[in-house]
Amino acid sequence: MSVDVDTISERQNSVSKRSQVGKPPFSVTVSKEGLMEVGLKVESVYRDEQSRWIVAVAESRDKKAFKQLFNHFAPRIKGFCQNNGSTSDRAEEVVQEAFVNIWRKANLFDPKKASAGAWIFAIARNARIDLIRKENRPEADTTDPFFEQNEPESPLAVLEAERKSKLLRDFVRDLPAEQQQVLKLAFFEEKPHSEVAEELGIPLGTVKSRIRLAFKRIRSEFGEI
Amino acid sequence: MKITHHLSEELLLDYSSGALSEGWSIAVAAHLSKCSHCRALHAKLEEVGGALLTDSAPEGLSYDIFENVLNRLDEGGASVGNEVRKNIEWARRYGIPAVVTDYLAADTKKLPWKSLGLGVSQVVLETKDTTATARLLKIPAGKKVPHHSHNGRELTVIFSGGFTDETGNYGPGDIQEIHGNAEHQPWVREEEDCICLAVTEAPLKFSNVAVRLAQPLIGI
Repeated sequence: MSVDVDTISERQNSVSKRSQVGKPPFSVTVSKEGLMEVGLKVESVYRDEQSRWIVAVAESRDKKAFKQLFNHFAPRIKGFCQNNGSTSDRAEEVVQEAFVNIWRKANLFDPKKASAGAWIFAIARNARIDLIRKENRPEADTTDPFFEQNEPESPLAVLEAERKSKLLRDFVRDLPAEQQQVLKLAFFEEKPHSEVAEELGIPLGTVKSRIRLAFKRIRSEFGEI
Repeated sequence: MKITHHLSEELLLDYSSGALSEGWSIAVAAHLSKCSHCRALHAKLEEVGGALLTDSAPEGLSYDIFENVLNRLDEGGASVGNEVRKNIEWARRYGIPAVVTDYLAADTKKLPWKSLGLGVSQVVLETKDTTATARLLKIPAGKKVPHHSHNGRELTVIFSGGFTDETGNYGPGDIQEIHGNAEHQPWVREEEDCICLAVTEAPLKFSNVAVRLAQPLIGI
């Protein structure tokens, strides 16, 4: 099975190399029957190539897949950190820490809950908090006995999650510029909304209403949240 | 658990983006441990973060970074996610989530409560955050806390019992977010003590002891 994953990864890597300059490929069409025949899990079949790389790292400690993940995400994580004013060296420390954690935590990646990009974003964000701010990152722990579990997901949840995360990516790009700007300052520069207001020289209430408008669109588009 | 008071969107955005400092983040994560509604929105925000990361401009890396990463890898199986949690008696009794107990689990039998007066006790959580103070509070059943306000923001997450104030009824899992100098007078439910996490701006440090003593009781 690991052989098949490698073959697929390599084939798709050529796609990702070609489009490296422009927008990355979000959907890669792979014949699902073909993959089913070689015995890949249904989950792996439906996820995008980045998700399959993470699954390959988790299931077979696949270094080729890990390298693919690195080639795809490491330069973006570096760019992402430098938005925050970090030096190249600091940003590369964050990249290294993030990838050590990606390797260690790959088994916790749940394609029903997050896209590869969102999962890696969270790991990079936490590495940045850890190394640059030198703080802990408190997070809800699903193994906690006092964690209130969700309703069990249907087997089709993975499809639904994938469809929605793709829609969400397009959707973020299509948000009005002023709402996108607030989100970018928050995520790229780690600015709390109060500082976003200061930086843009606009009232706090205006920032809050932009956040609410963006969320309202996300809600109306994606329902049930 | 019926949760009626949720995280504000601004606070959830600050937490998801990583902008929120550690003290406040404990309250957000404690609420998320109890609230699948806010968790769903949090997951969507991480997708937004993922979308922005995926679309961000790549930066060239030094040639040896991947090599460095490989050298740090543990070659064995994945090594996280199988930790065995301690059985913490007080956490079970009060329904306190791991994100809070992780800060306090040194003694699994009892919490080191310290009296604040008027029957109210606290345990302060040791964090690396100098801008906010997080503490567990125990307020006796039926207690009417005097009118008070806080400097800046206050977040309260209830684990057991509950209270009522001018803004509504709060029970297990609920989060209360107060801003500025809004005054409130929480009235704890009669049936049981209220155990909650309260996060406030780190207090101003007065050098003068008399001034410090003059701070109101719940001027925390």
